[in-house]
Amino acid sequence: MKVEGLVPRVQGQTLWKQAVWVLLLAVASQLSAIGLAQPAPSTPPPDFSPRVFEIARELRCPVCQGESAGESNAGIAVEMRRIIDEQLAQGKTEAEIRQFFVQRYGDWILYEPPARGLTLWVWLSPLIGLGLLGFGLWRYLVRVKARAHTTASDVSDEEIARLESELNRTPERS
Amino acid sequence: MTPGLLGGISLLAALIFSMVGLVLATLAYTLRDRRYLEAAKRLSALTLLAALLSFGSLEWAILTNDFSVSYVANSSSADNPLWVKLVTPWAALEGSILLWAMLQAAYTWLVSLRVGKSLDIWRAPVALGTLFAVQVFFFAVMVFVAHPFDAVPNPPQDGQGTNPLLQNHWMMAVHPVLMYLGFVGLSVPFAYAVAAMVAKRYQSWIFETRWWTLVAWGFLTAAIFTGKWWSYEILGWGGYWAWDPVENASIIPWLLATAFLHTAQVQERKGLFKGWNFAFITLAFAATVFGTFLTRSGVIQSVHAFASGPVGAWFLVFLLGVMVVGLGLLARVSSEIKEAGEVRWKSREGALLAGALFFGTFAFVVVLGTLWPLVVEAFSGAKVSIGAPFFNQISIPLGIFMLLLMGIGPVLPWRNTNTQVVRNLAAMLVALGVGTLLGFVLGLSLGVSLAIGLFAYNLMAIWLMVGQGVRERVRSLGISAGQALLELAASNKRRFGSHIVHFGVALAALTIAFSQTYRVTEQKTLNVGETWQTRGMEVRLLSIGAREESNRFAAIAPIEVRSTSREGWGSDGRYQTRLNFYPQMESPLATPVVKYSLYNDYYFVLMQFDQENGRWATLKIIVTPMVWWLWVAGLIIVLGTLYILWPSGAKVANRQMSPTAGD
Amino acid sequence: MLRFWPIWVLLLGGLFYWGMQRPNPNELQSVLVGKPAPAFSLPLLEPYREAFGPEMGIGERVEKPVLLNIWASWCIPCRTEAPLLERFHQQYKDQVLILGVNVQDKETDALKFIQQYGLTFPSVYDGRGRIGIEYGYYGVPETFVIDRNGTILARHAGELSEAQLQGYLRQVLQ
Repeated sequence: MKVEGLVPRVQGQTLWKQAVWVLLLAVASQLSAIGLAQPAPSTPPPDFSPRVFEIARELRCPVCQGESAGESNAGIAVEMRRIIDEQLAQGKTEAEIRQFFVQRYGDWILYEPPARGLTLWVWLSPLIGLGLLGFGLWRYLVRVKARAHTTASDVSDEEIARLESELNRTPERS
Repeated sequence: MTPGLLGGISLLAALIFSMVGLVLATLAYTLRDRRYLEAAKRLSALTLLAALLSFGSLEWAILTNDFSVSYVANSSSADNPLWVKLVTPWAALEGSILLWAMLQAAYTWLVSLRVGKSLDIWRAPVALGTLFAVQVFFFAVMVFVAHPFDAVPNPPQDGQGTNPLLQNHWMMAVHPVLMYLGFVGLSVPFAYAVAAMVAKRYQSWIFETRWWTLVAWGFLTAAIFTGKWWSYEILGWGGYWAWDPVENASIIPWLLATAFLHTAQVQERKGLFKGWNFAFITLAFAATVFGTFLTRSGVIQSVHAFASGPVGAWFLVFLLGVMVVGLGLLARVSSEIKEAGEVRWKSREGALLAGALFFGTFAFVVVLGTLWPLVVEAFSGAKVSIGAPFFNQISIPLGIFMLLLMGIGPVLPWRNTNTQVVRNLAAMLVALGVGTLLGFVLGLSLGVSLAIGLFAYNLMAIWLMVGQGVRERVRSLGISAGQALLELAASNKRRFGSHIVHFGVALAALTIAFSQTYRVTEQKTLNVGETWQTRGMEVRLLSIGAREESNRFAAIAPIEVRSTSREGWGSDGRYQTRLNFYPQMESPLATPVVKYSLYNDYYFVLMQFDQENGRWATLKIIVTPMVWWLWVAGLIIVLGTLYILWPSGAKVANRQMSPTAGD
Repeated sequence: MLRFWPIWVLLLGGLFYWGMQRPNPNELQSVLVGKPAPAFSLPLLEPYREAFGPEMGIGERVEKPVLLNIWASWCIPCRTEAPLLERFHQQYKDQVLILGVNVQDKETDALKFIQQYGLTFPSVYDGRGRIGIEYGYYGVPETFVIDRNGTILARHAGELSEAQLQGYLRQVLQ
């Protein structure tokens, strides 16, 4: 869905001119009911079941800036949906269909990274995060508690430090 | 005077004012002289004026189609409708930085009003200085690398036009402004934190900072929900959250700010957790810069990325600068803070800390998931994608824990538990069980059933707390239940407002569970006049037409929908599905027609049409349950935040403004 | 953990700096390099049928090294690349087969393009880009270098410069 500017590799089709042509056609068709002699080169896309979109949504649209093949309107994404549809009709499983695309594009095509190698760490990240933060919190609470049982002074070290530093500074003028 | 000249001059003036302000604040700090502080205050007002003037010039140039101004020539068009022109300043890179800088100047000015009140002579120069430094950065970026007012030597007849995605929905007028208000708003807590760390006053900053953070949090929440709304109604894929890196970048500061809002209460009550709170605020602000860096550097692929350029390097330096200042101060401070106290896990502060733990973990996961493709590429050269399927799965367990804690926390008292609390918890657990069971009986999936259970559980918690408060008042004061409720709501706005917010969050979780589980997408090609029976609907393609509009061209396929069973209930109507063609875009933009109902949302998209004879059209239908309720939930959360923030009476104001309470 | 904060900042800064230095952040390595080129046979565009027959493609065995160029008429870099390919085709046609695959295009537009640049190397028509997906393409133009054994040696995404094309030819003719 990225707007194409001066992108060196063009990734969409110019339909604008065709669309203007349709406008003319719409006007023309009101004038005469005779169709155009030109055969229709564009055929409608096939009908897709919900399964097709579910699988396509897990795959990356190769030409898009971070859109899935389920969302994108780019020609390649439409063709990917068609491939998924055909393979479903052949009775292939979702895993097999994904494998088809992985063999051609690598793991990059999957929006769900495989739980192995370097991307295993992402799957572990909730545990790592919880572990690190939890450990830090636990250590902090233990320290704070230990201090609560030992310190008896009314003035905390922190306040003494601050007052010392402020006393060392130039007095306020106004 | 041309708008380009005026804008350029006022931009330069804003940069110079910010630099002078920074110098004055530094002098005020080192010489401890109030006169410099007063001057710095005045400079913040001057900067705001200059920024407003500059922003006004940009609007002026856009409205008068002055294509001798580079930004207007690159990002606007004479044919744009008025409202698009008004929002064009934040449709591209330079203008969005100008908006950002202007809002920053506004926040700095607001903070300057607090000087002498909550900000004493020890802290005010540091807080103002920090904000001035941030401002210097933004204005310098514009003056040196992203100047919106560059003169175009041979002005073109017309500009290159505005990003069509942004002119396709009025929400684009609102969403970016809210997002920037939230992002920029987090600079104030950061400035307060820096001031507190430099002045070594580790306790009192929390009171007012909590307030500022809540302001920014409210804007961020509103921005995230309007962003979802925009994404749902424009992008045409039937979802509202794609876990795109840029979307992640907006949720990271939100999660960290949420963590802070919870742990700040522990610090307020017990004086604990000071270091953690500094860390949360520093990281939340750093996360906003991180997000800006991602959108403007092209380091990570994203739908929302602006064109990359030299701006990326500037933002990287700024990001690292923020982290060095924040973490460097924090490292020094953490060795000095000597807190003492005890936290019981089975108390409210225990639940608050546990909640913060999960928010922190969630933020960690999102940061890692966003960065990991880059890390993998750096280490192995291979490319990987980490997207929605991953984040959706990871969010489920984290979300369940958070919802459980959200119910428990407010019910638990600060100190020891008593029998009343135990009874309440038992009632909540019963609600959880009954809700989940109800889901199963209705034949819903495990996740959705659990979401119903958790919603019931949270609802029960709020009901018990409010109900018990009302009953106590009725009994002791002898007033009616309605009056007791009003008094309860007014007497502790923070607590009551948090109930509202928590209710909104529980509702949002429920709708997310429903919509993510039961969304169905289907596509079919219809001949004109043909009907399509699906999902309890009868969809008839009426005709195919075309329309030329000032800024675009549209192919329109009107359809008529009738519901035939309960599944399609509420879908009836005539809809104009359309494909919009923008001259600056290679492929057409499918704008969905959305019909909301109390349960299902019906979403009709024109995918393709017979360009030769106009005989057929391909329609995509997406049926999603409960999305409308997600917007309601967002509204409830924002209103709850507003309720907490709404000034009332002297009591609250006193507490917030007392400068040295607790120091 | 906090004690090591300079290291964390440096790591993050280094990662981002490295990320920004990449000449092309969107570049994707082909997983097919070193593997046999996927076999296909597609109808040739009309102007080439006389000389090359009705269909062409990559079979189990190739007679000589192949440069498989995926192009489209709406792609702007293809317009500067086409004359270069034509020149090399004239020069090396006995040693190397330059085979175009026209993807995501209308046949009439493709024919116009061929005529405009006077392209004599054969191009097959793959209107929906199916073969493009077989090869894992993620934009046009894209060139696959296939050696005598039918193995993919390299994939070049984007426009080829003359020097790059020379280099690939040298590699494949060794």
